[in-house]
Amino acid sequence: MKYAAIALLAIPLVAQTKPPTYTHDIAPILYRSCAPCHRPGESGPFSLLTYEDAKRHAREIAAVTHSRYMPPWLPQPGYGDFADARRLTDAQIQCIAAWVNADAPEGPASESPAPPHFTNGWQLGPPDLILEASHPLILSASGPDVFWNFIYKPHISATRYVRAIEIRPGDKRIVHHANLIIDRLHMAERQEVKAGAGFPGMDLNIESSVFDPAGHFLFWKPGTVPRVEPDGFAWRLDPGNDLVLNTHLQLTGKPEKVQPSIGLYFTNKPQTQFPILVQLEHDGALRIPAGDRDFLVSDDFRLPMDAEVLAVYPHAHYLGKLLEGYATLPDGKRVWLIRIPDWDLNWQAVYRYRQPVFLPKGTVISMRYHYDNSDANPRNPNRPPRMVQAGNHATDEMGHLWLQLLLKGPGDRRRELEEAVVRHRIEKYPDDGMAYLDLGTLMLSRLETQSAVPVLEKAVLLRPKDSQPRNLLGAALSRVGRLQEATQDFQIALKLDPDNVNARYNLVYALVKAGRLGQAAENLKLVVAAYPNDPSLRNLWGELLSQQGDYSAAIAQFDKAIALKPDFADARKNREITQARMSK
Amino acid sequence: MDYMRFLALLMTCGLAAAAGLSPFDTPAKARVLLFVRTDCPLTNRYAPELQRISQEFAARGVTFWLVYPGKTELEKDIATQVSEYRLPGTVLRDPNQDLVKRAHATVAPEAAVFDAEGKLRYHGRIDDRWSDFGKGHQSAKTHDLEDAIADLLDGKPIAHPETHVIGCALADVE
Repeated sequence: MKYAAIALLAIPLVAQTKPPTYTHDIAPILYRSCAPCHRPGESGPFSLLTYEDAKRHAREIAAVTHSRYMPPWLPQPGYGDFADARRLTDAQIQCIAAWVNADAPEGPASESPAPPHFTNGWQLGPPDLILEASHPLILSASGPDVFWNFIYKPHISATRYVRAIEIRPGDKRIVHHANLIIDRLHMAERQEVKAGAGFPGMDLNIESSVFDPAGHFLFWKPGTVPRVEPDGFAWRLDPGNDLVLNTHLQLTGKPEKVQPSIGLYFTNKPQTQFPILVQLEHDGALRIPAGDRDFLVSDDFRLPMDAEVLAVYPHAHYLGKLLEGYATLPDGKRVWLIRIPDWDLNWQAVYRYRQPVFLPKGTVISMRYHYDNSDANPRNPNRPPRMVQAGNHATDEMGHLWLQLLLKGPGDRRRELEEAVVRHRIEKYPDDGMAYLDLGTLMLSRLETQSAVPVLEKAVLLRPKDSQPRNLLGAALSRVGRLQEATQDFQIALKLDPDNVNARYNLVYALVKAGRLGQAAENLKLVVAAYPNDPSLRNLWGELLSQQGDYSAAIAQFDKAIALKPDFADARKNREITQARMSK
Repeated sequence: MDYMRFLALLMTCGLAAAAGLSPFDTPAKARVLLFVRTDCPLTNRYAPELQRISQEFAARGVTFWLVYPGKTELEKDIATQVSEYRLPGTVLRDPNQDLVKRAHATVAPEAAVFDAEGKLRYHGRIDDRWSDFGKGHQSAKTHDLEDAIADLLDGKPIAHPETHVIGCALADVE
């Protein structure tokens, strides 16, 4: 038996008579899989471009490739076919080990492949617009990682379509990864203590309108060439939109200054394809007891229509261990979307499928995330472990599976999907007033006014201090002819928030319908003050004034409306009528 | 050694090497050797912690030495690293890795603590923040180097005279 064992062991040794050399075997691996980051000015802490570079780090290279820490690539092969996979093959890893064991021989220079060619500076050429963070962030020399958000205010005079972004974070050894979020409603700046200063936080909660949902992952990680959206997929940037850069920063051992720039690349081809981002999550169930080694968080979402999955972005903090996402087709077949056996927040990324994954209507998409909140988890930020809940600090937890979906079928089906998402949210969180508000908004937009009323009543009940549910309930009641109740709701909405211009505008209409023109005009005056350049508001105000007999004031408003919009036929006609009344 | 030769050496090899300094020539209650490399990011990230420890013990008769093993480290890279990251201790070159062998050091950043007699009493990690490449806690729980120095000064036995270090192999810069 002993002899047999020795003979078995001897086989690989005999087969490996000629050890690998740098020029013949190792350089091709390093050039392709390591050098994109391990070169001057990039994120890798040292270069791997020459034999001397490789030799100085030979044992580290063997160790980190063996553990698959490098090159960083989290998904398990066979569980989703992703573009730009950075994973080394087992044979490549064994080759590196054999090379190091043989004392890292160089080999003949003639066998070396041509060194890789890299573009310096902006990878896609000069951007059409460069945005720079208005204030730098000063980092201290040591401490835990920093999560910081920079706000950018692009100066554009007309709507542009963005086909690519490139983020130049400054020192790439500090900025580990970054996410860019389009903030159309100026949600982020409310979190700044000082304008332009930015604000901390690992996760960003930027609300978007249900009529304009987010559709793109704008993710940056070091060592990758920026993605250019195919024709029709460019995203819209309107004047006045903010962009928020959510960054993960690692301290280096000395104080550092971080001031990232963003390059935007525009196209003349407007958006014709509208993907939508969908999030599976159950943060409300995230209450991980201290010491728990395997805490499961799950979510399951049924697709209401055919769709293609274009990309996936799993996200958890430091306690996440095994992250799984899969789809169960109507025929019961399971399609894996992603499986990450050893989650590492530091290397989180958006994974794009080589070919879109088609999921038929009725498919159930599932998220199964496992967390380790014990001391045995080397990444546990709490020492000793403590009970952890959902939150956007590094010491809190998260569990999100984001999918970029392209919906199939006639027309724009995003609102249908949003409704399914929001109904699912209500299943998970029966007390989520925002979910009822969103559902009510979607129903109103589809003119399902009758059924929107009870939904919005529920939103009002759950968010009694919020002006918007009251306003929308009023809008629904007004449409079904319950004018008196509607008027009351608008008035309550305005008591809760006197600056809710929408509610005031709705109140004006309800008052007009009820024939209370004087009160309507008073309120409309305030709406016009908020939107002085809106011609239709001026026209409406003119009409009210004219009906009350205040002709000269009415004509002044029609003139302003026409000045703002010279081809405004209604305003011109109203002006003529008023003039006629005046001369009577 | 005549003055001109001394000056020439000073210019080529840097201060400590030229002066022929050894951690064991000057009396000290404890001598802490920090094995470092210019191209090791983990070394840099430990700089603030190493400053803190050196300040804590400087007044208690402990000397700190910043040892660069290997022949290939460039003087200018060493000078840049020491000044940018404010690494503590007197810089030493260890081209033949004699100090590396004496301290049983294997990677950067590894620390070794020798007692007044020059006997090795501790070698290993600075603290337990890193358990593997890429697997680091946000803060340390055990401060192994600090504890070892304190125990030695207090005349106590050192609880863990050897600990495992994550870092860049010193053998690769031989």
